[in-house]
Amino acid sequence: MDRSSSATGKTSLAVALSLLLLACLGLPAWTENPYILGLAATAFILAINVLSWYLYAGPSGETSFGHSAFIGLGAYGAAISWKHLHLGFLESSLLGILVAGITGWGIGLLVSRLERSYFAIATLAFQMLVYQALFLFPDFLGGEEGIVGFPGTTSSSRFLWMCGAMLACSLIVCTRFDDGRAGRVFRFSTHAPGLAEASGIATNWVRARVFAISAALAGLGGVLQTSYQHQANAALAGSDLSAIVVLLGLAGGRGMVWVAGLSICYVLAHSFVTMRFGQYDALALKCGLLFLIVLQGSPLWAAKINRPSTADSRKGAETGGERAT
Amino acid sequence: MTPSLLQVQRLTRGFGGLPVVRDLSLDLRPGEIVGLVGANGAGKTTLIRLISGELRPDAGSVFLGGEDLTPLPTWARARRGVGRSFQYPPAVEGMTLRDAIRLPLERARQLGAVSTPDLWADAVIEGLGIVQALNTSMTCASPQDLKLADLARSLVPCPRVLLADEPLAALDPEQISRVLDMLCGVARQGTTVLMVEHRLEGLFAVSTRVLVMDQGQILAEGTPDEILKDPLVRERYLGGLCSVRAQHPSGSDTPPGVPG
Amino acid sequence: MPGDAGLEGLRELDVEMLLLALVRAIALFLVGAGFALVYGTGRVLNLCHGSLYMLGAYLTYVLQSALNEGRGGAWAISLAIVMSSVMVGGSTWLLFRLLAFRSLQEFSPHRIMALSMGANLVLAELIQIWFGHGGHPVPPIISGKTAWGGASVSIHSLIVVMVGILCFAVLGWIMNRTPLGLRFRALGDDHRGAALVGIDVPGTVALAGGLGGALAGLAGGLMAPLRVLSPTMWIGALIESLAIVTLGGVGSLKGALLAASVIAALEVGALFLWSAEASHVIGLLVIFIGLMFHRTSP
Repeated sequence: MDRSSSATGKTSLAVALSLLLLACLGLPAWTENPYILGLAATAFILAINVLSWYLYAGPSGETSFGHSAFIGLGAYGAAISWKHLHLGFLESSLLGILVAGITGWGIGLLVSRLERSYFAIATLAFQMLVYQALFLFPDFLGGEEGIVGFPGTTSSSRFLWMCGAMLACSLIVCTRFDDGRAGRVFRFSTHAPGLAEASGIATNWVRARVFAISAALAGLGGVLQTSYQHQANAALAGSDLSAIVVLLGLAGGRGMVWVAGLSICYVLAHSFVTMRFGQYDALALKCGLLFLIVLQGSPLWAAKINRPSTADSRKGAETGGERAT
Repeated sequence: MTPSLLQVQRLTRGFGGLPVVRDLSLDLRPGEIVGLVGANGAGKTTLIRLISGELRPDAGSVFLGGEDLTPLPTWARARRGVGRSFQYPPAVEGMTLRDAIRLPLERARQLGAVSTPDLWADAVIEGLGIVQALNTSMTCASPQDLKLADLARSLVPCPRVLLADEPLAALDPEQISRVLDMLCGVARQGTTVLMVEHRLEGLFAVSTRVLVMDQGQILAEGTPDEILKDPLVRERYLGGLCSVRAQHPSGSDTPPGVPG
Repeated sequence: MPGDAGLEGLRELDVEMLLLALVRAIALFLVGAGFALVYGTGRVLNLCHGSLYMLGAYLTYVLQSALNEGRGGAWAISLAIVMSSVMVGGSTWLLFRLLAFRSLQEFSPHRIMALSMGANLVLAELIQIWFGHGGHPVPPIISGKTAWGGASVSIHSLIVVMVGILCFAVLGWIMNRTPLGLRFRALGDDHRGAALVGIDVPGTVALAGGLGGALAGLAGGLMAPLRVLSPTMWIGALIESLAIVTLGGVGSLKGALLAASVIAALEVGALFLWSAEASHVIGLLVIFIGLMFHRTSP
């Protein structure tokens, strides 16, 4: 890996982790308002969700439009374990993450071999199927209301620390993956599968594994969200959330840290805009994100979803397109 | 007679009804360098792809050391010792040439085909003369460096069989010399090389045996001298080219020793 | 005799199902053909195709309220449908032309997918803000029912079927007998090759986009009297478009029609056998299972 980009990568990670620590320690010291602390926590949760999407999409360039399915699977996995299997908070959460991860592995095997557009369609279809499925068996799954009463902490600051810690772990896991050998193998498996296979790499298993980790992290996000709102509902597996994740991931597509940072800014901006403009909040923010993506895609910026070194971005601007054919 | 290492039996493959490889059989023995020549469209690259596993045959089978490779995917064959270098190696953004070369290193360590994979990788890199270019990103590297790096990558796991698809194309004479030295070296260590090439001088200099393919079948087989003299080959492929010197570019008749 | 009445009832149900499937198939075909046209020619997965359908429906509602002071009438509503189709098609054409002008062809496909998906959300939000949820009835072109094959069917449904068949014929004529159709098919094969032969690639793609949009808008307008308008209409239309492309491919109109018929039949079957929710899932299953069988390598 390029020496310079690895160094800047490490610096930005260090900066991000420090800011995170500062926020976790500073915010509860500054205010006890549960709304503000909860807002920060939801910001961290969204960052985990988007980061987990970017883990797969960033290095490979393959956009999954079905990421919220795994968020929902994690949420419902935990909620069902708690409600129907009567497991404790920790066990239910772990089970939820496991369900999301294993489903991710299975779906990854089926879907990751598809060409980019069809991959997007297939993941979109999967998410919609999961969403529809969550309305079946209302006695078991709770129908529209979902499963209510999932435990969370009473202390907002403790919940904030938990989310902050989870985000920190996710950031570390994702950046270490991206910079390390596993990330390189994954990049080759997706961009030059012929080359990878000729080198003895079982590309389909590699892709499935990374997809599984991505799904498991999304499940973690789902579990945390369920804990925050004390409820697992179908919106967690909805198209809206899926699309927001994709938009944020693409808009922030300069690296793991950027993606997390943008997600946090999005939540804070959302809350601010809601206070000022009321019902136009969602609209304004989505337009803003779209504009950001358009701007990023224009030749002036020449940004691509992969994290390029400066030499690459120049070359990329000449050749256009993302993948070597 | 040494037992054959790679056996291709009655391999057949067509595209859209057009047969490209027809009922082709061949035997490769350990440590030999076999040249594969033929006009464009003769089916050479298709044959390579059938052996490496990229393509499934319509009929026939491939055996490596007695084991049937036919149902196995490419990566399984690679792990059993089938190496492949590409005519046009792909460039992956964000990756350097070093990353590409080291790609099979982990697997090489696990398979234990060579006792010190890291040292061997360094030897290959030095032998091919790309030490300076290691930190260049793949998208910025020159096509020659990319090619040499790909060849290095294919040699790192010390394959039992190396399928080299036009390894000399686009290289300058010094680089060609290095590649030929390297191929001779690995052959001496026991690797079998099946080399598709149009640069006949280089090919004939190092090959112990040459196969000429035409319209999906083996037209002729023999030593380089025999092939050059074969009238059918002359008519169908060489196009009356009589003055190809079967000589090593460095001037000597036998290739020099193992590099590194 | 009681037996006869039972048999009559069954036959009536069958005919009803058949007609429902037929209307659905036509609507699916119109939406799906438009989507396939854009994807096949432009290689652009325009995920906001569903929203174009939704826009067609809402525009028809707005226009027919304005024309004739909302009193309905065959001409007013037909005109509203045609106008909304033209407007949707025209704006799509304009959008494609703008994109080409700004040489955003360097946009990777997934950025386009994300943008078009985002556009869905934005449009849905806008429609929700302006119209709220549900309750905007559009009167049919000709109200009333008629007897057909032993069952009663709304005249508007028959009109939809006729328009659909007409569109199929017209599209077939365009694709196979006009220079424009030739350009479409050339682009479907190879963009660079087409450009080298002198075909104006961005212009043709824009026209394909416009035509596809117009078809979606037409479908939306035609189906508006038969459906309940809602800001989430785009989801169903998008799923259906994707299902048709998965099943019928992007190359042929006949393929699209066949795919539309199969999916419509399955949906109606699911509707009668299970529930409305089940029929929604059919389209998704078609996509997912269809893609599993998708060839990836030779």
